Amino acid sequence: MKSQQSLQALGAQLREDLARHEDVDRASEARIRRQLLARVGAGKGSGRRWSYGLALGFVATAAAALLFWAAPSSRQEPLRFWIEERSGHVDEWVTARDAEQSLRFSDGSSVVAGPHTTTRVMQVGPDGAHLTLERGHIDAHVVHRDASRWQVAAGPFVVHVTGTRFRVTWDPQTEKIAVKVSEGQVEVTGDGRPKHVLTAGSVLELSASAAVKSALVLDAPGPAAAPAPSASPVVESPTEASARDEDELIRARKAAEHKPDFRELSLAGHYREALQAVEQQGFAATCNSLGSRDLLTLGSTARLAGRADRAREAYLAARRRFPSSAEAGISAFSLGRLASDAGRASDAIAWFKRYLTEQPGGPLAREAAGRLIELLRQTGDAARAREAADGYLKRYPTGPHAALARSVLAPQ
Amino acid sequence: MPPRHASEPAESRRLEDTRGVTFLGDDGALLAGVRAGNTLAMAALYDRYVGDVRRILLHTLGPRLDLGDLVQDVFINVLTSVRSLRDAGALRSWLFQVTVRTARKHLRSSSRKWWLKLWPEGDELDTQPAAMLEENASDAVQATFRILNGMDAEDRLVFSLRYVSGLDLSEMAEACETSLSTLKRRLARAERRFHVEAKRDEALSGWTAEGKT
Repeated sequence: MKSQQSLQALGAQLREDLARHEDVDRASEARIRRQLLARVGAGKGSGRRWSYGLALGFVATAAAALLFWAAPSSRQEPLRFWIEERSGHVDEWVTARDAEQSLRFSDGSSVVAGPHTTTRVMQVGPDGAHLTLERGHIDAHVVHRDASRWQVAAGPFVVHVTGTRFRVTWDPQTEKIAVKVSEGQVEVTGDGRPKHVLTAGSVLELSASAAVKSALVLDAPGPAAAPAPSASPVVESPTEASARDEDELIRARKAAEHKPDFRELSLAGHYREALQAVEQQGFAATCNSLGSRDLLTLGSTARLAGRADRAREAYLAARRRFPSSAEAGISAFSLGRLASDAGRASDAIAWFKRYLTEQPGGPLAREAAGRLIELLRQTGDAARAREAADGYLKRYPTGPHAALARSVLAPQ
Repeated sequence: MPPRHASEPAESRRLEDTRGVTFLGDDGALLAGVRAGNTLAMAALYDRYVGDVRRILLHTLGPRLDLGDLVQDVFINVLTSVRSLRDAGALRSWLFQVTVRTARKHLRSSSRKWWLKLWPEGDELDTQPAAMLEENASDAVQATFRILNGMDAEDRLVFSLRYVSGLDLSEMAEACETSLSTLKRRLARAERRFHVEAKRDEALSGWTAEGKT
């Protein structure tokens, strides 16, 4: 007890001493903040673009449609799709009885029909598909592309999608639709109502019955469906505000029931269980349907679960499917780290070099440059190690590998 | 407003302009905004928690010159994976977990460089952690982190969070993602080790059980 008291006293002194170091250089702090947010902001999906106005989207869609119909010779092949392991056909009914049924599309999108669900693929084009939900619920993950055009019709309602992850539930008896968006955004139209724009975290419930035109369940107080938090006028754009006013029925709520997916399990540190969940869904199929950030999460989950082979697959998928994204660069770095951990120094060198070529100012550039020195030295490539060390010191004179760089450059 | 480089992206300038804006929403509103991809909500999340994150890194790793880079690493992880977080009430503790994970990763990656010591020049690496500390750190801080540098990463983390950050055991267990019993075992081991080393260190001998209380 006495020793703990003395440690607590020392701790108080240390906190006081260390508090002096909390005062950071405001200029560099602002620079770090700006770089970080610009980087993360640049990598995000449709959410930010949404605030720039639906008009732009309309113009772009109209132009794309015009191009599509005016130049038949340039039309692309329609998407192909599979129901479980067999090829699917347009107009085919998909009925999931006690077990769910999966539909996979050739662009990486997927639709899972829950138990006791009946759905139908009405139309398939090069940029998406139109589905009808007769009853039950579907969980859809639509891969965002420049010209994605997907629709899910349920009764008088139509859910329009460009790239997102969402669930639609339709009960033909009560004529109630529920749309829950977990990523991206969707628009819901129909039944003579104004268009509802839903963003991530939102749930919309509507009823087509005459007696109850709308129904809403609010599980917990939370922000409206518009992306900006409602309590802050300064982060709410006019577009967002009008969307919120227009859509009084929308409220964000926690999902009352959900099966934890691999992201949640990974977050909780249950890496093996998270990976197992993905394996059950089909690892390769998941790699073909996840977004770029989720692929990074999958890669790190697999790595932490001790499955370097799966981690590599996830990172390679991120690079293959999103070649110009920031995540592709981070994947290159991660692949370098995997190769280094496995003792494949030449592979690791190639990946770290690729990261530095693709993202010379990236957040991992310093670490990649330092690891290059380590690996070049390890492989006995003295000349290139010196070159890497020299470049490192010029750029990061106080970096964590500076001492190593100096030792590499020191006269023998 | 400071002058900006001509090639700076417009988005960056817009984010910088939000500096000083006070975000009034609670964590639930913040999380919803970030999940929806609202860049200004991301900025607000950064502003709200950057102090806590920096403090934990400072307390666990010491006053390092590269602390800003590590803070950035934490927020890259946070902002790219925050969509998976379901419970807004858990935002703060989850952020602490990510911060501790980052610190742990850094400590482990440093300790993995052991093989470099096989090289004749590798001995210089022994001095690297201390050299990384800012020169104006107090004697007590320098001596403490000299001892901590010799500890296993997990032991070091629990010791730092307990005595330097002043967290209680349940907060620590949550931040370290470990059970209370494991945490107590690690902490007891770290305390013993610290006491032995501190008695030998001139800067800390006065802080041992026989000294100040």
